[in-house]
Amino acid sequence: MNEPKPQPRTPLGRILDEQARLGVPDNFDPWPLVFNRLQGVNSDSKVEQSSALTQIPTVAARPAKIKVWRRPILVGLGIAALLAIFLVAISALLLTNRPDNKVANIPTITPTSQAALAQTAQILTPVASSTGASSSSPVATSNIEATLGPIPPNCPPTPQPQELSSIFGPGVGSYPLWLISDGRVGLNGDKQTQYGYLQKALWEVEPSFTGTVTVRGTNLSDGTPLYFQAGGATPTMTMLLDTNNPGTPTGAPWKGWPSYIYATKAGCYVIEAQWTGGSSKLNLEVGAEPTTPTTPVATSIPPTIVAPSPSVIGGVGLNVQPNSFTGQGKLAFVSQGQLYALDGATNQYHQLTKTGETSGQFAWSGNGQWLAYVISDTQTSRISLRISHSDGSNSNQIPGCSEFAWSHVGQWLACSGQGGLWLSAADSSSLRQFTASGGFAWSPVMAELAVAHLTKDNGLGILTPDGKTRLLVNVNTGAPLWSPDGKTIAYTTNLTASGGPANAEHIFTIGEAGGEAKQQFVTNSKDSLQLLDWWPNSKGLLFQLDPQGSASIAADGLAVQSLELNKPAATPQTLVQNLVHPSWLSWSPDGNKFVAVEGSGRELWRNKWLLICDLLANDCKKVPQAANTVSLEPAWSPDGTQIAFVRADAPINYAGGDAAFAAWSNTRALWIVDAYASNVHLVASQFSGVQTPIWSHDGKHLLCGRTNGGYNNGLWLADVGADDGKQNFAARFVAGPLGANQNNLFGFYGYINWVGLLSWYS
Amino acid sequence: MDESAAIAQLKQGDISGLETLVRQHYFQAVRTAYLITHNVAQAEDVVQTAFLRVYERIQQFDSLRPFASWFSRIVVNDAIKAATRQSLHEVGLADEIQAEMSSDELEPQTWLEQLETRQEVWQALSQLSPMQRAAIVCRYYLELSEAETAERLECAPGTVKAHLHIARRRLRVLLYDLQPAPATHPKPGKLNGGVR
Repeated sequence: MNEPKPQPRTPLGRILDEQARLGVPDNFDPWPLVFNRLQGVNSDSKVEQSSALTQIPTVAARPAKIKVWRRPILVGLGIAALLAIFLVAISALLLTNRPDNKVANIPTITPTSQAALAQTAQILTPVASSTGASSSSPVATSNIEATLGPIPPNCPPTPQPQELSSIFGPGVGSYPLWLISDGRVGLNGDKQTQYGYLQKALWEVEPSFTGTVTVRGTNLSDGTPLYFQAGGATPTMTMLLDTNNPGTPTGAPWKGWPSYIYATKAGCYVIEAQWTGGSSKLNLEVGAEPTTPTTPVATSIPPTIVAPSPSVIGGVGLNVQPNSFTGQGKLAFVSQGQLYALDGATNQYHQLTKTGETSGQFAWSGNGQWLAYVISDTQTSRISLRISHSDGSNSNQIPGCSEFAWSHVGQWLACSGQGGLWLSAADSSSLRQFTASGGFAWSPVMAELAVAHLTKDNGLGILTPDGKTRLLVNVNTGAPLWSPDGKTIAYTTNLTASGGPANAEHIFTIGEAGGEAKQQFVTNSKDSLQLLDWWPNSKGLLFQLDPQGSASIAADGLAVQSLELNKPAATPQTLVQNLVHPSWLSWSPDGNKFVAVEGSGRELWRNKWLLICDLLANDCKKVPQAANTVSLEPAWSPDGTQIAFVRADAPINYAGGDAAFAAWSNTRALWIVDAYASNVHLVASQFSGVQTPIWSHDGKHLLCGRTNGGYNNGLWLADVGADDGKQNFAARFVAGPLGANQNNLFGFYGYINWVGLLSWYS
Repeated sequence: MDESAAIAQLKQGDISGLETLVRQHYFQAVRTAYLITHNVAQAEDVVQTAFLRVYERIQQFDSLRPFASWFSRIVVNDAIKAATRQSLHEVGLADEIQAEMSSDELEPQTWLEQLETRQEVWQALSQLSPMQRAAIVCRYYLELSEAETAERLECAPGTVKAHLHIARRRLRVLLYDLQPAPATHPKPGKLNGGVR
């Protein structure tokens, strides 16, 4: 499907090609259409996206908006575009009435198709126009401070930040416009652009206001302007915020615009806001952002739930409370697109990625001494794997590596990418390159790596760090899966040499030393297989069967099948009817039981409950739950006595959009059930918005995400240890927000992929 | 950015990888879906949804395989489903094969050379079942082999042959019907249980 496609050779093909080109012109940028679908924002109410916004790794979308409203909205896009043009024209008239203002030319747009209409709306809303310049994209002056000065100490007083909403942080300003900040804008002194130094800023307009607010900023001493960039438009000196088209759906009923503020110099500035019938001013202190502390000021550990304090840009900036994590090992997490590591032994945290780098895949080594992280250069898109200590020291890099795994024995790392497969010592004292490719897995009992393609195209085999290789079987296989005793490897293949329907997939096992491969299971034609895990005694396998390899069926959950191996008459037993995410299966420490989320449907807010299965007894028991609730994200405690999980109300009110989703997120609470599914209880009702609890190794703490559906989120550590038979509870904020800039963590159906957000060595 | 780098980025959670894939594949995908659904809005919906699925399922994509094939398979099948949902005159393949067996044998594809106008062909294609259209689109527009078409349509190569054979025959019948009947041309046999 790559462009450009050559003209077909047959007459019929040429006719089809001609019709297709007529029906689907390619004179517009399709990315905003898909991006808006990802965001769940209709095309007529979303700003044009910039490369800065495209760095968002996960974006929220509500299916209801897409499925219910999309077609009427498409039909009404023309009206929306005309309405937007009308609003802009009114705003332009208002501006031109001021003698010192010029309004940027608004391009004439003639919508010709749905796509063009959608684009039109995106270009027009919100509109940032310029003042004092004839172009809509004025270039900043060249008087940019070579070294950005600090935030000045003697500016006119800034107002006290006020609590405005539970969804975003405190803000400064007055009706109707608020800047979510403490009145100080710390700029990134390392990143100079043609518009000056920049910092993120979140603007919020009060729910009761409707219309357009014009925002300008000038230096109080010499009139040097600030530049604003909302939603990826070209930075301009005047920013128009139209409440009909907010820049973000989060924070409702407030209207929000994530943006950037650019300043060419440090100083005291005033923000002037104008709207029909009123105006306001706001003093700001602007200068170089204080450097990231590596030895934060100590704070006391509070006994109950303690919220984070506002940061430089409230609700947006990084906030870390190292003392909340004292003695809890090491934590790596992504905030504002940057990777940080917090050491609970030293209470120090460090930024590990540099400006212009991102990381969404990282993990601690088996002894916690090393962190491996895949980094991507945002300019060149080059991928590489970096290994370092938690403070960034002893850093080594392997270019081109994109997937990796730490060994279970010794401190070895395997990574694969464009250059083949590498085996490296954690300290990089040894590094070997192989031509192998495909999925790979470390043995649980020795430093051996099973790899799907020992040669370039074929051959399941074994690699060792000393450079030895051995071929086990010369077929094309999926990723290998080691048995817990390290003696056997399971794999899937679609080869039909052993019989079975065409295109069928087979499960085979083979000894670690090689020998005869044993066929254990064959699917019906076109069904595909996904190996989940071995039985703890290495005598059986869990797997999922995907009818006809359908992605959509798999997205709604696949049955978990259990198969005893080496028994010709054995047939798979279905233990769980529908498991949507493999991460929703957690093993008991002894490996004899697992708990899983059962229930079909990809949406998290319906049809989900917990099932505790005894593998050897081939029996499962449902955890009791009230009607109109769902149970999610179970985690078995290290001592095997209890299971932590999230319970929330169900179902969500689709028609409520993002506000309803945020309300639903707030119903997510921490619950605990015993290993026998008999005693279920809520841990702390006031501890809301809980996501994916993770046990500490001693079973006394749970690390949880908390979010209310927006990007106001963070990691919290909850004490859940029991004294004298009575369970205690206290929780404290550790770090946040998680994710990339202005990131709404939730995926399309409410699922958060925490693997890309944090790694904890406890 | 090349495709493999884009996929690697997307697998890491960097959505700019998806941006690259969208710009590379969007129009070809929408055109393919449009030829199957005969509805631009529906085709756009199919392709945009397919990209959302790519975004959700990219971890399951084997980077060693060509993305275009994987994505094309999603688009073609979703387009068939979308078109089928709206089709008022779907005919089961078994019925058609049975009808085909009883019909007259026709010449090979020489008649395709006689096609004159796009509109006629477009109108005739709209009379085919979505699966038949998909087979025609894969074979003549995307210029895939029968084996590749079978892979895209998630069916056996023999089934593709049957779909293509029936589609060609029906197109021939329809195109003759759509034109003023030339006095010198014999009218080919019509299928029993056809769509008209």
